[in-house]
Amino acid sequence: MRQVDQSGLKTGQALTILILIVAFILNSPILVAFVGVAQLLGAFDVTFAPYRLFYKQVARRFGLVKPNIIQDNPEPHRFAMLVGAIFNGVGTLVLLLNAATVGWALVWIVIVLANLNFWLNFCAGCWMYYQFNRLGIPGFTHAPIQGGV
Amino acid sequence: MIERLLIAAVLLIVGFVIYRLWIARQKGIVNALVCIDPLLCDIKPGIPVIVYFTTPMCIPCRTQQAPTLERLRNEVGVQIVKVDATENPSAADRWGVFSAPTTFVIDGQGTTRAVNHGVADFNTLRMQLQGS
Repeated sequence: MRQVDQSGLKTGQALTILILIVAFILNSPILVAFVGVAQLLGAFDVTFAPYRLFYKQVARRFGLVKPNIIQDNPEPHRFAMLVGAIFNGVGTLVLLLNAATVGWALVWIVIVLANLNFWLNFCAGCWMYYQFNRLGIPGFTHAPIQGGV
Repeated sequence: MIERLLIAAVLLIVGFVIYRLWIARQKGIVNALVCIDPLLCDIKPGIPVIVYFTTPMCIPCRTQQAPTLERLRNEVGVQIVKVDATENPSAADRWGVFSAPTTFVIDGQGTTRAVNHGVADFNTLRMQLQGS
């Protein structure tokens, strides 16, 4: 059975929102770059991804959240993180090129999308993934898990 | 830095206010629909109802929301109207639903008490029903 820990995803979304808002307040492209790298490592599911480490070593260890494992495809969520990483990566480059308005606009798009996912469970990246799957685009191989509603 | 803090605060507050206004608008729409909407033709009057929008690709609907609603139906006696938004997109449009799960808590008098976007847990729904 394919499974995803929803609490891990929510922890990552919360960290993304918090760190990016702090980055904006401190006018820090470095923090934006950190979030982008964290999302990129999460997208590739590496064991030392910062969000994963925080979730396992801090959030779960200190009982801040409980695991909430559900049947789901992990690939759409990883794709969503990849989209976030691209936005933050481009945002970082644009900020370093002194185009602050465009750079922070990209960052705020990520903040809005992360909020939609965190509060409303609307994962824009997952939606994109499944649309690509329906269109038969190579690499987007996992269709939604079927079953009752 | 103070300026940026204020900008961030304003943006977050504006986002929150837009969300609350949108919920209020959605409640208004549903209140107007309660007496006439085909989804509610078969409900028993005087008993609270939860209208539950879902889709086949919504995993939390199946694993979290549906069992919660089943438990509410058994323990509280609320009526559940389940709507598959992919089979009935016109209903989703009428009710202003854009994500699943979305639940509308309507009291026995036909007044919408709450709209929940995302999974609503047992205690939240029970409190919303008791508030009605």
